[in-house]
Amino acid sequence: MYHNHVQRGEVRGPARRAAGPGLRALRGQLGSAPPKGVRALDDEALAQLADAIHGARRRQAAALETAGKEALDHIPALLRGAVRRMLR
Amino acid sequence: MPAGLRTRSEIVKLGRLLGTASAELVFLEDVEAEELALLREQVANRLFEADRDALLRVAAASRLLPGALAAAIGQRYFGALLCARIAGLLDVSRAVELAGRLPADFLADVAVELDPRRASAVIAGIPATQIRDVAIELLARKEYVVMGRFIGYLADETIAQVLEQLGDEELLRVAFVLEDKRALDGVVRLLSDRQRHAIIRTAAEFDLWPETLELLSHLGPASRRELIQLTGALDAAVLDRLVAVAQDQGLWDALLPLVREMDSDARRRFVALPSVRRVAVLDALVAASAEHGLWPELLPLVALLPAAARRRVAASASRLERPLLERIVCNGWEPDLWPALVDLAVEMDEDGQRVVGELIARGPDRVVRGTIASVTAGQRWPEMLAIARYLPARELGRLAQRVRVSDLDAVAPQVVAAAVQTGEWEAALGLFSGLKAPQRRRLARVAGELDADLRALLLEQARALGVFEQLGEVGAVLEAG
Repeated sequence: MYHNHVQRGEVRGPARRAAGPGLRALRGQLGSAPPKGVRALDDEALAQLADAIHGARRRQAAALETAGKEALDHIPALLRGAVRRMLR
Repeated sequence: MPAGLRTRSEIVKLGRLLGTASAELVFLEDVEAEELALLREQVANRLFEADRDALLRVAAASRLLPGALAAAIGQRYFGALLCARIAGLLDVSRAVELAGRLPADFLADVAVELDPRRASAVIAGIPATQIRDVAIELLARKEYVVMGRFIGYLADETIAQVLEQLGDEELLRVAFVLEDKRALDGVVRLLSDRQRHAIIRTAAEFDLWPETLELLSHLGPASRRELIQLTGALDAAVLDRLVAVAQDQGLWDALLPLVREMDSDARRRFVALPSVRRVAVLDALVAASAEHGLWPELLPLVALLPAAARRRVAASASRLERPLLERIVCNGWEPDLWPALVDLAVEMDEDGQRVVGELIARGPDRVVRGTIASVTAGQRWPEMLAIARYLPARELGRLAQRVRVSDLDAVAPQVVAAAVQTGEWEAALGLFSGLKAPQRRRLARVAGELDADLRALLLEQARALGVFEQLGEVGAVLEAG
């Protein structure tokens, strides 16, 4: 029987699995726990998912910063100061 | 609906949101579609919230600029992704104005990145003709997923304009990934007759059966029935292909309910397909019915199968675990299904028959009475006795005692006739000897109305099997000759 092989303190199944680095990273990226079915994936997959989200966030932040700077150069001088102040 | 298909569709959407090829997310294939939809929502929220303050500042600053300049800067420097994030943060009228200044190809780029939930008012405010132009652009790029996300946010008039642009294949592909499946029925109702016919023709021509089954499963009864009848009228070779796809991709849980809704001629044609009679297909039908509780769908089809195929279904059902068999019996109480269930049970092996017999005998009153009523109405007592012969006396008694007294007028003569026909006297007399006093009194009256020859035979068998004493007043009537 399965339970005969379970030693004291040993994890019995996915429900009691301790959070691995992948799950911790994913939780951090999402800001909340991922859905149950996703948590059941192996830790490597969870880490891969966390990386993908991190990459998407990084690309978005970088694009926003670059766009703000480039746009300012093309705003008429008269409005540029006001726009710059609003963007700070 | 087919879980695998929904999951794959969700992976495509998530990949798009993350800017990742869906092939790189293949490890998500075993996750339920509903869970992936939740994950996608979490990711979308996170991406939006991560830069919300900066996005709000850009939206506020854009108000300082004339519309033409703001639109030009948005397109040139911020690009589609950031414009999509900002769209929902602008005043609706301003966002609609800016959209009106942007070319369709750029708006299509924005649509790819936009979370329609966050900009639903803006989408609703954009004129139908402009949406149509963006749709044309998206279709040219085969962006069906994007189209599928937006349809649910459009007014009927706008949807009608978009639908006019969709080719038959495109229509199916968009329907497959439609985010708000509740909108699907409305979409189909907006289609012309020609387009509705074309859906089914296209499914056959381009082998888009998984997409079509997904679509059908979300339609309202009227639209679904119409498309199912069109499907049922297809050539046998095309239907064989549908069967092959259902078999290869495990789609019987989607297809079986639709076959049940076909008219009787179409159902008969479907069951007559050579592909349906393949052993692997029959086994898969049983497995899918067991797994998804689809016996009400399967049983009427089994009744139409030729004997050899029916025996295979019965053999396959015999191998099911008892709880699954139990589910068949509990589902089978729908009156029109009992005859088919009894026919199937008769073809099962001895163990299977015993289990089905026990489940009926031990079932709730509605199961027992439902069985007896439909077995009697369908004149299937010969088959029923074949199952009952495996039941011990106690179980037979349990079964017999729940026959309504008033039903004995119809039941008893059929049981006797079935015993004469099959020689299953032990089962028949086991039922009679298990009756309680009021039932026995009624049986005595019925026995008195039987032909003298039948009464003599009944008496002879009761004595031979040693149950004469248990028949009480019935025995006295039989002895009176």
